Amino acid sequence: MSNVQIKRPERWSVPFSESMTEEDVEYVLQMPLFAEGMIDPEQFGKRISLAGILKNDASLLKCHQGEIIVREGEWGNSAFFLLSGSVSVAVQRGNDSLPAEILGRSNIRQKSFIDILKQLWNGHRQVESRDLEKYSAESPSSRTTKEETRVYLQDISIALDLEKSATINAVDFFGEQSALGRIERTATVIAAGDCELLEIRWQGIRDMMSKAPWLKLQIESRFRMYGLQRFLQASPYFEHLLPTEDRTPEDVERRNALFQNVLDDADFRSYGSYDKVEKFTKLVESGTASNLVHEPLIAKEGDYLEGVYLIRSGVARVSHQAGHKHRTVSYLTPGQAFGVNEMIEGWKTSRHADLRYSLRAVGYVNVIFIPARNFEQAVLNELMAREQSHSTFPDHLSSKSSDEIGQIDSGLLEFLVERRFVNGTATMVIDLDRCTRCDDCVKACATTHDNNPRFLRHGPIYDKYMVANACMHCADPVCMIQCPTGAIHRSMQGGEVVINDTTCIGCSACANNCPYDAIRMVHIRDEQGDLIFPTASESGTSAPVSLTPLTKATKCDLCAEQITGPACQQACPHDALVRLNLGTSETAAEWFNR
Amino acid sequence: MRALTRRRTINVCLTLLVAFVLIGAAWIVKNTLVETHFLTGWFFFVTIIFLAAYNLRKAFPFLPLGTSAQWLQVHIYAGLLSFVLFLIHIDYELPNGFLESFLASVYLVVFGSGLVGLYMSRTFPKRLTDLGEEVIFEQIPVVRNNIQTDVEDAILECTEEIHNSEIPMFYRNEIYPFIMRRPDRWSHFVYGYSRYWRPLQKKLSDAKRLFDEEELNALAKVEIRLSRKHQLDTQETLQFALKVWLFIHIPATYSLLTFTALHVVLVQVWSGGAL
Repeated sequence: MSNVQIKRPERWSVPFSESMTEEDVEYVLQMPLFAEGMIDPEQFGKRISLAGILKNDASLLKCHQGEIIVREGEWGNSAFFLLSGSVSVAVQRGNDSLPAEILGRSNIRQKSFIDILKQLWNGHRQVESRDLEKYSAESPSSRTTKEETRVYLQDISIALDLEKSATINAVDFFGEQSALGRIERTATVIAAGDCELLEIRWQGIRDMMSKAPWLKLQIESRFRMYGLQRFLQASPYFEHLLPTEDRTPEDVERRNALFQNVLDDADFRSYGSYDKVEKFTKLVESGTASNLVHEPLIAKEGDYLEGVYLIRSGVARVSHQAGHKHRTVSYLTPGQAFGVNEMIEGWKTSRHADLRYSLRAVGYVNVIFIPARNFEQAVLNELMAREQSHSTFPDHLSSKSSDEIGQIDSGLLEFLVERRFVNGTATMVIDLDRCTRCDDCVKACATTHDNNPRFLRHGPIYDKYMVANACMHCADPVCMIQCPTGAIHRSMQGGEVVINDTTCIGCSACANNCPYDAIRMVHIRDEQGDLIFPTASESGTSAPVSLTPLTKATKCDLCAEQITGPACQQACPHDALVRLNLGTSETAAEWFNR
Repeated sequence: MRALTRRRTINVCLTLLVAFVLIGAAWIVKNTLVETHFLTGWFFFVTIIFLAAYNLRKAFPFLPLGTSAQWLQVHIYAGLLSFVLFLIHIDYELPNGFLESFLASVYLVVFGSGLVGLYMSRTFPKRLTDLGEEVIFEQIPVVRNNIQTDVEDAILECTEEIHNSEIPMFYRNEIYPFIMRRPDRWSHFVYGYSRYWRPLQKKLSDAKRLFDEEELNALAKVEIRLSRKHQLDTQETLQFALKVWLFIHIPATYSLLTFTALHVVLVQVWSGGAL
């Protein structure tokens, strides 16, 4: 037997930025944030020292006026500490936000009937052919350095309505809510002038929080003030506590107090590996997936119920002990709760209730834990009258019962959860008992995408269901992390995950991050079918500077531009293909049991 | 009742109702001594045009004309009703003119191929699913070639490692012809297996008595690949059938449209006082 030895991988085997030098670390440690004791280097141990964190988990950025630092709607795994200078934050959301083109995104416009008809004769004959003129059209200027590409706004005052934006000055930080909570960025941040930023990945922030009480306090208070409050206000469990016009001032005050108690006592918990995209197909193939050992336990069946768990992001598996293993009975997606039924039962009978099921993190999960006392006071006491024996809790707020959970075949449920298909909001599922393999779906996809099909009618099969190799438009799109130009983004119109072909630089970050292999990198060609090579734009010469043709990331865009919706589903003659939102198990069950 | 069953029940009931109404209406009109052939003929012609339009709709998946599945449902039940119209039109008798007989034959080819297609598209997918691992039709020859190469490699390995093995001879006489044989399409189509498969299995079983353990191990590997090749042949046949029936149904439909148009012109020109 061979005895190959390698060094055990360590926490900092792969630093966040190769360009962070010892001199940079020394320089950063002289900045007020660290020198004035807000984050005290002395509090850090030798193993995970502050200098070590800065060296390995951070990157020093020098930004110039107009540089886009983060974009609203994108996913990121880092926070930014503003060391000097100031940044502007476009605080508006939705339609009032910065134009999509400025952020490097495509402004998706549904085609008119005439445009749709034009597809009949305008389709390119060559594979992955592109109209080269669109690459020379005006777009945010970008500069590619050795490590990354940055995008600039030509004139920040024109792009950003300064009256509707906020300014952050040194020393302060931003982006931590999105990094720690793995939720999308809620605002676009642009350098207001020349500034210095310390970008720290989430692991570094986590370690700094554990040693720097000031930082922990700041982050937690910001989270309670903004993130948690916004999340709980949107939750149907607490909507009865929100002020309405028909309530008396006393009632509003009482409900506010209850809500504040929940805010004060709620706990934010994270489970699972944040940045490691698990190759769960390997787990499934190796047979270890069913052991659930790789899924951190959030709450254990049979344990005393201490409170209710609200899923903030990610997907959690609800399972029941069966023999030596666990049988999946359901899964929970953001906004759904675990432990509510047990809580109601305990509340009604005035006895303590044990958990009927276990809850596990499938991938990375953020949970808001509401202690039992708070949930009883703020929800049960308010929504149910204890003295009335027939009083019932609103159906839509109850946890899924085992009877309801049984809607989807248990084996199928295991398959969908094990392979993380439940993350999909438009998962392509094909009923093979009805599919005649006519490929009308592939043809329709090709017709609507310039003769380039954007999916493969092939994929994992369970019983008669195949999950085809097509972008599922995940609820938690890890493909967006690390896109340097923001080319891959969620469309503001329909929420589809789409790629702006013009600003995609072909770095493959999205394709490498996608755990479902749903993004394909393709060599692009001109109208004649010739491969396109990059030229030295600065020198003005047209000679190719690289022998590697230009690549672009491609994937299913859910036919966002078509008025008919996904062409694959439209074209299936036998009702065999569907784009399913598996985040809502009820809708999925309806289709599977049709 | 499940959604798809409910849909089928409703559609069948509606189709039967319309069929009875058509038959009844034609019978009443005929008994009033009014000429019905022109009316039923035009009805029939329009129905055929509508049925043929489905193929056209498939070419434009991006047009907001309803889903292909909705079109197919209408296509199936309107197709069934077209047979009722056809019977009414020909007065439940065989036509005697040359063109009429030819037209009737072409229609029956279209209708019959449609029924066969409907049957296949409702039953073959299940058979394909039951076969297990799915291979895209266009990739089947490649996979089959790989299997052939794997078998050859296994046999060569066996020849090199086992002295005086009988396996190479057995391969040349029994396995090679099966591997090289084109899919036995008719057998696969009707029975789901090749008529050469069972005899080969028998020979494999009989031959095992002559081989030692090493040879049996080598043969077991080959046997798995042979089974895969056989399964692949079934897949290819079923997928081929699901594709090829349209090559009868669609050209026959266009022939029907062309000759029906000619029939309409001739009838209009020579109808005389009947109109």
